[in-house]
Amino acid sequence: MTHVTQISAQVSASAKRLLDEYSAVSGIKKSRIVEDALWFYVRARQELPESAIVPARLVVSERGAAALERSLAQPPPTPALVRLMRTLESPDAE
Amino acid sequence: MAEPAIRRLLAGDDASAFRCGDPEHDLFLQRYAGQNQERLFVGTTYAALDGPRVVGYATVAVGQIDRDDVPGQARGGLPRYPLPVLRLARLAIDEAFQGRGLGRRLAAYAFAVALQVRVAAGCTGVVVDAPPDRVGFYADLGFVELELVSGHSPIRPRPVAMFLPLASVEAALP
Repeated sequence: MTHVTQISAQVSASAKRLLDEYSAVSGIKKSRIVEDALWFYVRARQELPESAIVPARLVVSERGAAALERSLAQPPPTPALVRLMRTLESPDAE
Repeated sequence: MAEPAIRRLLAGDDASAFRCGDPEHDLFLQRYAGQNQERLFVGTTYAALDGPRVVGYATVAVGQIDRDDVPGQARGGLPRYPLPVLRLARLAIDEAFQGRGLGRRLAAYAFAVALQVRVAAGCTGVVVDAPPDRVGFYADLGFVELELVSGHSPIRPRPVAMFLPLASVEAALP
């Protein structure tokens, strides 16, 4: 291999365990798995732009948490929401 | 003229002529909505159809809300576990069908999907990524703005994350 270099990274214990197990089972060196994984990742992200993926985890600030808490206290539905839900069409069962 | 029917996006649906006024939303529908739904399973798009032609869509994805835990600060009344939500990430209407209430129908449809998710897998509410000019519309429905630390929508101009508990949606049902 030409022009090799070394990288290090902090990863989760579960990711490290996955790497160890996959390397042991497949017989592929960990460095090769990491190299291939990086290439696959970058190619996949190039195919799919950032704007096409919705982040699944939202972290709210203290102020956001307070707003959420007030909202979860279940205030009655607003008149606009009641009017909107009168137009409801049930999603198809699939 | 018959109202456009709403259902899950299918492979044969024609989105080629869709123009909502925001090319980024057009491109998402035409290139990425299908693969996000059928190959990656990271979001589902519900389409409003005029015949075979898509004239509006809403894209939803499951998500969770966590609190930014700062040591030494009280947690208030929020539970310690993440709150599962349905995120209404995109809603767009073809220019020829704007102003006919189709966006409202798609929003209501997405809320109904959230009610189904609540039964099937658990869901506390809907988070909408509201375009800045639609914040008032969602506020009227009872949505509250959420100040986020992370998990912002990647869409530009950046939408405002807003939350509505499903208990309110259920209480509003006829």
